[in-house]
Amino acid sequence: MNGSLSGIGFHGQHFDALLADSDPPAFIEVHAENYMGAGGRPHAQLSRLRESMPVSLHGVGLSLGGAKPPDAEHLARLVALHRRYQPASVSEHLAWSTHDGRFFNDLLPVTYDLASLYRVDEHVDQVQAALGQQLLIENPSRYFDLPESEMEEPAFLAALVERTGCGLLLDINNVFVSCVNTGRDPRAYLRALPLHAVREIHLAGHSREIDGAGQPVLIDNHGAPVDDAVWALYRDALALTGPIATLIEWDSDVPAYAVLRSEAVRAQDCLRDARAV
Amino acid sequence: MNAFTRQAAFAGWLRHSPSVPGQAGALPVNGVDASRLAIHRNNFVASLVDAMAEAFPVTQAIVGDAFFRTMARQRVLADPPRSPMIAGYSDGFARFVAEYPAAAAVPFLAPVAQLERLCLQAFHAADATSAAREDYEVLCNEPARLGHTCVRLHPSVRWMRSRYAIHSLWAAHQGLADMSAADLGGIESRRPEAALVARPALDVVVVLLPVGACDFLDALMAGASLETAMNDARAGAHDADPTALFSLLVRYGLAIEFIDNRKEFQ
Repeated sequence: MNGSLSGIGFHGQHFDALLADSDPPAFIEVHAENYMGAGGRPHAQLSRLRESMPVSLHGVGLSLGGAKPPDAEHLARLVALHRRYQPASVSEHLAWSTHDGRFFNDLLPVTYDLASLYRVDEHVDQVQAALGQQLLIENPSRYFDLPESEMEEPAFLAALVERTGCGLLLDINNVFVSCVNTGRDPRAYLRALPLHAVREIHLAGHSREIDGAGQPVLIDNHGAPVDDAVWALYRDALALTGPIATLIEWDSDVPAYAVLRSEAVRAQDCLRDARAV
Repeated sequence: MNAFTRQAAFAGWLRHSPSVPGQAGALPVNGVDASRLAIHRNNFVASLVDAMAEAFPVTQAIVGDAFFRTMARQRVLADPPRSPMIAGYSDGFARFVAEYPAAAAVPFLAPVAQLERLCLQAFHAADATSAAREDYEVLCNEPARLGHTCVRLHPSVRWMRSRYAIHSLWAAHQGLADMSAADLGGIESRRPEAALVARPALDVVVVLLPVGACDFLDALMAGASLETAMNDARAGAHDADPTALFSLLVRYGLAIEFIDNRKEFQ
């Protein structure tokens, strides 16, 4: 993917509007699991769009942080999808979602210790070997620290990049959400990351709640415009990385296509400014 | 604690510790505010309940949002998905509805859920090209062929019989901005109906089946010739109309191939 361009997370209801757009986004991203059925409209749409623009695959079900290796059948489905669409990138999360054969449909927190590092390392290797392509790993949203963690998340990601050769999908909203929720400085977090490995950036919305202790807590809900503080952090990140392909994610209460597109245009403006620096 | 034990504790808490006060001691992670942990439980339950609401809109409209979400929540906690492909989770949901005690007062609910499940299966079924009109014309022009012609059905084709008016109930909810506004007053729910679900192109169609059609389709699926399948339909219901049954295939593009079974045995 061209690093200086912005894209949108694709939803089926936007198909006609996207095709009719005279100035379409530079790429689209889809959740891999939504395209693992045999046929029908999802594949018809994605095949048509793939003719016009790069597609990236974003997995939510491999459970790379799980105690057990990724499910072989699920990995095989991802590989089949990868062959069919030849995506510009494939990404997954630093999280677990499956335990003992049950899938929890959420990105659950991994303890950052050496045992986890070795385990996730093996799982990432396995996926990269199956795909024959570098996998991008996304930093998660965290709502609390796990007491048994022995290292900071950026150090864990840096070690993972070093060991597996994976790339990073830097989710700026997740950085902001995690840092606010756990009392860290998001700019210090960014500087501690292996920024040379960032291949893609995600921007999304979050909601603001109050927890049981009366403290504010941010929830990564992908259901709102990108927050101003996240835009500001995004500009700071671009100042460190240079222009990086950036995706607008909006997965719940999905708005009209034009709203998503305008968020992507705003990201495009930031990328242009970063290039000019 | 190793990762398996840690994650087992977390997974167990996600499933078995729904907001019961006074259970703070059972948290899977020490020293973390329970309301923060509950964000994950909410993500787990609400995302799957939402997925079921999206997949079963008519079922939800019939019983109302609150009843539906309580039912779906119980299913999610009792039987979380076994695969990250949520579409497959809907198969089990229709069965859960059939066994959900509180839904027993609405006996047509599970059959309607089953119909919606078939729609979802058809939506994701493999693609195939329906047989051409000319293929049907050959059969119409030489009816003798019906005795030795079998049909390969489109992979999206499903059908079901019910003791309830499943098609009428389902159809009453279509084309409305708000399905909960559907008027079921004129529907005699205890009238048996059979429905066909198919997706010959990209749109799923749901059709009220005429008398004998399920027997006809069952026979075709089992590899019988068109003539045998028509005879089966008439054996089951003397007023089954072979022309109407054949027309179903043509109209909804249900056949992808006609196979001359004499050739197969040569």
